[in-house]
Amino acid sequence: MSDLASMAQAVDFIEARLRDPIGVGDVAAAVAYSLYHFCRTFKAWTHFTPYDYLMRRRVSEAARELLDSDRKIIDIALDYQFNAPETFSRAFKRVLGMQPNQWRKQGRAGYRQLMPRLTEAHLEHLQHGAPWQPAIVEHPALNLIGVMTLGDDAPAAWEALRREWTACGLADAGGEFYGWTWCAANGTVTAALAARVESGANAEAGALVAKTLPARTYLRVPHRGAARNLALTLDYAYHIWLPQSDYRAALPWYVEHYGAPPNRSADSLWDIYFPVGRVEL
Amino acid sequence: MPVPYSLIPTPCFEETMQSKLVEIPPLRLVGFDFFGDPFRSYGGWTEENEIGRLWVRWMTYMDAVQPPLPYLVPQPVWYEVHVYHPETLQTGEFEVFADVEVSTLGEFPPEVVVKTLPGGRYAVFTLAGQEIVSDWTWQLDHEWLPALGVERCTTYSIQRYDARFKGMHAVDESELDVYIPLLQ
Repeated sequence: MSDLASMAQAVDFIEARLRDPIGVGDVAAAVAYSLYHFCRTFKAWTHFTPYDYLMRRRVSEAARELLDSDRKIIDIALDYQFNAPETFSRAFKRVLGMQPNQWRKQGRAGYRQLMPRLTEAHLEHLQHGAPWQPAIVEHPALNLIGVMTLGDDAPAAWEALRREWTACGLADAGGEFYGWTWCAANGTVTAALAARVESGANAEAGALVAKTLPARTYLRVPHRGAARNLALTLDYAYHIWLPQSDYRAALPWYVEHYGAPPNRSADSLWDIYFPVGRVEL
Repeated sequence: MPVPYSLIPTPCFEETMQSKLVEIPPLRLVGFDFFGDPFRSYGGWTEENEIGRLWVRWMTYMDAVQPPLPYLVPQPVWYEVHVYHPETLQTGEFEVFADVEVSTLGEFPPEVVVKTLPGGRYAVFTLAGQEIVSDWTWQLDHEWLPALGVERCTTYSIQRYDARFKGMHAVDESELDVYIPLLQ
């Protein structure tokens, strides 16, 4: 069996036993690896140590249950193998940045706050994406004018952008195209396809909307490959790279910088910008 | 030096695999150690992970320390000891000890860790080329030791590096010996 198949099987094993008293040794044995080789291989394929993955997924599922049920916090903690309230609180704070009771009071999960399970597609994407070179960058403010979309880069959306752009008499965008996706307070996700303009450009006419990308600190992650794999790159940024860095997502939106209109080929390359802030210690 | 008391044919092993049972005296070692998941920074085979960094730290120290550490056994042999602690199977965290042998447990600087590994019966396997980067520990537990009819003490294992080991960049030309403590 390949390492990919074995690691996907290891993830399945963990996911089926988040409430069971399993350890890393049990997972290694289930896929016929020694503990040493398993830890080395699991990290290489998932970017998590096995124990870290197990704990983060337990916390995420426990957090979901805290929102979806009225069960006592301690009962949910015990279900997920946290044998003392302090242990649960510590792990919860580390993963979600707050105590379980604060989380429940908050009433809902923030944008992409809960870590989903990894799938074989994630593992393949992590391998094909490597060597990614995410970077923390300071980006100047950017004025964008574009059209609202359904969150995709379909040809119809590009056509609408071109039509409205021309109708407003705006100059050639010079190949600087962006996609902006944001999540409203009620959880609704909205998107726009836009081009860069100089400040002061008129966006009042037609169906165009204007947005200003604020000057601030961003995590820049290259997305290589088909557009359909964008969700995997987003999971990488929100749930793999950021949690293991000194930064966290600061606002519920991200911007894709296409350069030229993106094609859908497997070797396309975009930069995705996530507004981030440094973790307060 | 290890004293082989028996050389056992191992027909079920790959042809390159060499093994023997030896009786060795206690091993006195000094070095630096690390406890945790040594692949927290990087998985796969890279010198950037915690084991690689431990070795860099230890080798740099050995090159620079003045006066040189006392009682060093005068042969270019390096050891990497993996020590499993009670929580290891739960968390995947264990101790890695990069070290050299000394003849006497005298006084050493406080930054140096000193360990004595028990003497007794060990199984010694020589890993060559790609075997070094394979999951040899799994084979050890499920093929090699059962073929020898012995059981191991699972709390630690020793990797012994000498001039036959050319480095991870030349693993195909390298060999190393693994010492596995056996239940008496």
